[in-house]
Amino acid sequence: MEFIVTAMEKAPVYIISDNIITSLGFGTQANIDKISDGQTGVQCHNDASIYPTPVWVSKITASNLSPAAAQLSSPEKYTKLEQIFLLSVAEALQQTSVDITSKDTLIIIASTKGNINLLGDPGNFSSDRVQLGTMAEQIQSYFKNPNKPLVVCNACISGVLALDVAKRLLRKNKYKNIIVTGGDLVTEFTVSGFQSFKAMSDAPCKPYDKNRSGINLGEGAGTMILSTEKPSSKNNIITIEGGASSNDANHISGPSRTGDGLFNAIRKALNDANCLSSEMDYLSMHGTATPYNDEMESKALGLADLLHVPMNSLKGYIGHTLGAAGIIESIVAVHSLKNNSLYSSLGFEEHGVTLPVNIITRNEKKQLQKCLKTASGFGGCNAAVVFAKQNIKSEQG
Amino acid sequence: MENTAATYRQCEIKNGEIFLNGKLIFEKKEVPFAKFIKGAYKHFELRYPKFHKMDRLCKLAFVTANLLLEDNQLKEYKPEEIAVVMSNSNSTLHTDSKHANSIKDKENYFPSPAVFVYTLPNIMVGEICIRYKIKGESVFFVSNEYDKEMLTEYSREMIDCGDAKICLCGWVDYTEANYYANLYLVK
Repeated sequence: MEFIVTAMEKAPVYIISDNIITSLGFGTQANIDKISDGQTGVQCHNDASIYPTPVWVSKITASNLSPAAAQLSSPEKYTKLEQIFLLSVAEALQQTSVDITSKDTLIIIASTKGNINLLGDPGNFSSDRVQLGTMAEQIQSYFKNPNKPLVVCNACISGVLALDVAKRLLRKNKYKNIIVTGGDLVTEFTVSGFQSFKAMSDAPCKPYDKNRSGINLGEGAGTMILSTEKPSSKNNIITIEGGASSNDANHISGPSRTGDGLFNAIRKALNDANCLSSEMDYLSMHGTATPYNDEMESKALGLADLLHVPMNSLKGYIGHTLGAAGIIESIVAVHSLKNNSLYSSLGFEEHGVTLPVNIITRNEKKQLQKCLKTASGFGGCNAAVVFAKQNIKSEQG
Repeated sequence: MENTAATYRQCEIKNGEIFLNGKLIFEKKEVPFAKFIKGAYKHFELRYPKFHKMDRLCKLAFVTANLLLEDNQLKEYKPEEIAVVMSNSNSTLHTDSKHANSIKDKENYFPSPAVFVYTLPNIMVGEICIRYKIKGESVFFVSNEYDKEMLTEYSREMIDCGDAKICLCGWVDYTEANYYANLYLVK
């Protein structure tokens, strides 16, 4: 039985389009250009609507969002987060011939708190807009998609997990195309909560650094369009090869000390992708810059025999975008594979975890074939996904 | 659809009543939810000190899962072979309001980590995983209606492709006005 399961042919899942919207810019390329230049969107905001005292976060300003949102039909009908979702999905869709009005197309939304900024004060919107299901219906009906969207609400792994959920449904041929979009806002709700945990850094965050002192929250959206149909281009086609999730069964608000939970997710994802850890060329880690998370990740990488593989965290560029993080960071990882580019892990200076992880300290061009994306979150959850580049032309030409 | 009580072991809690495989096993109507759930916890002698720290949503999920999984329902399975697929419509609305109230007044600002941690619905899954040493796949979906067919099918597929051997599946939703829990096992 075990043999039949592993030998079963898994239908390929192609990544055919993507979009990122963060404080760094609108569009994947705009974000990657800034990351490549080492620029950060994390700034000190002295804004009582976010927190009574100044906080370091990555926020999309109204002056950037309003002109972009003007492209939407009736933008005033949508909340800030919905506008960001709509823009992200619309732009990703433009690059494809996917018919979003088809029964064969599903929308999956990853978000931790959705329109939580409307709680208690919905303004012009109906109070049920704070429901993730109602927010999802807005996105569905804007695009006239016939299928009820799935909403994955699974703390900080929501984005990576949504990609894994999509992978399952596409392998089963339930849909031809799945639009996976993740988004969250920086709100007083989340800022005050993370502050109460003393988990927020009072400076730009420093993942894996000796002097790291916590996270910077961020806001934005990421959209990946996945398909069972092979894209027409011959080169640089990226696939989701495998994915998995796991639970630490240890603590609801702290990661496991041993890293065994994340290791389980990595091991299962590699197994699902039919890959060995030695085949990984790059690791896109969660790297929140809290003392416990980064330490746990190093232990998991030790268990998975991945300590030597170049890795980074993108939190220093865009902060922790919660439900969007796993998708935004996966998109950057996919473009790393396409462009054979490794980006430095911004904020890292001095090695600050127990095990000798291989943190990328300067941008580098390197042949990349496969990479791993991980995430871990409250509730003891972990997820991992493996991406691979399918080169039709052989490397030798 | 083979999705019936006869096929799956299931536990359901609604309107002050608890049903195991369709049979009424506990009743405490006309009391507020907090009293009802504590009454059930005591009646079934669940003995788990962390229960008292949980928010109402987690208490509801915890009691439902405990009754569903009693008599060692998971004993044949390794921690990695057990999956959890859960859903609800109101996410963590009750605790969200509690956290929001604690930051309403800038002169009296008291956000608490013990409250904030319960503003994520997958914390229910985490609590159940800790109690039963479940380490397999898990996912939490939010949708306006309980789509039992979708959840069962998703769990079934996870088992079919070898990613799990048994799946704890279902719906746990709580608001001040209403609550409903229905958890069941898919093998």
